[in-house]
Amino acid sequence: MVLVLLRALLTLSAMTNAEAALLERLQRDEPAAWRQLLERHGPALVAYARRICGDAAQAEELVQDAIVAIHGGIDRFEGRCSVKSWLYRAVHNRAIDALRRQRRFVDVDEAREDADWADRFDGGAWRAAPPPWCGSLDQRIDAKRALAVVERALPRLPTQHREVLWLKEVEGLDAVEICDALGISPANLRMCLHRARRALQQAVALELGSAAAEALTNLEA
Amino acid sequence: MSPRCAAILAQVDAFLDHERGALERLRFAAHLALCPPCDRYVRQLQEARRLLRLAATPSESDLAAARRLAVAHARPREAKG
Ligand SMILES: [Zn+2]
Repeated sequence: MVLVLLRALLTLSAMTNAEAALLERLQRDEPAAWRQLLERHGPALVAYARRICGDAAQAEELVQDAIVAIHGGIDRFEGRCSVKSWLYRAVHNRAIDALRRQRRFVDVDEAREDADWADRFDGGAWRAAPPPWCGSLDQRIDAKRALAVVERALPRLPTQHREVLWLKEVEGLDAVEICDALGISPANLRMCLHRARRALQQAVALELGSAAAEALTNLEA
Repeated sequence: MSPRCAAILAQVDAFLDHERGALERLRFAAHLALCPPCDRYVRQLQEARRLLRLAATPSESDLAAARRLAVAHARPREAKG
């Protein structure tokens, strides 16, 4: 008895009480529970899939396939990871497969990224200060312009950088959840996140570097 | 600018994610206060993350797709009763 309880406690430890209750209802195949799950997580999952694959129709298809797979495997889900990482993992796996099939998966070139970064320093000191950004920092830019900048900056990044940034900075998943969702180790995640943030800064710098920012302002004026 | 910039910036994630102890955060902040290039770089990193979050709200098309998925997934089994 104690063992059974202990095992239940251990398997559910990654989940909150509310999640465990929802999981039970999902495993009983209550339609209302599935609707609740999709209403709560659906919009974010579709937004995530769209940022990873870059296409709204394909994103919907990917999430649809992920949900069907989740539904098929719900009895095997033991709550060793949070519901969120389980959902993102299903979408992640399908998105990566699709991108690879379409030869649109962009690998991280770690050696080149690290060499480019190292090139900015000489003996540990900056060779030149990072150029200032226009229309940002001083005059906080609004959501509409942020969207324009991000829409252009994000596709410049390798697939994994986009995923790590989205799950960490946007969805606010914790490290364990991200590792579960992407199937990477904590050490790997630390390096990925470091490189991804650096790459995001550079991609946004390309958009907000003086000339690009002026063009953007004129375009939107 | 100092020869410590690259080494300091290697620790930037711990600073952004509030992971280190108070003393280390203070040391990091002290470097930024004295080093305009690092200060600008870290501000730009933070701004890039802010922009990403600002732009992250699901679009109308995301919301519509999610509604379709929720309806499609709940309906057949409800019909079966
Ligand atoms: Zn410095």
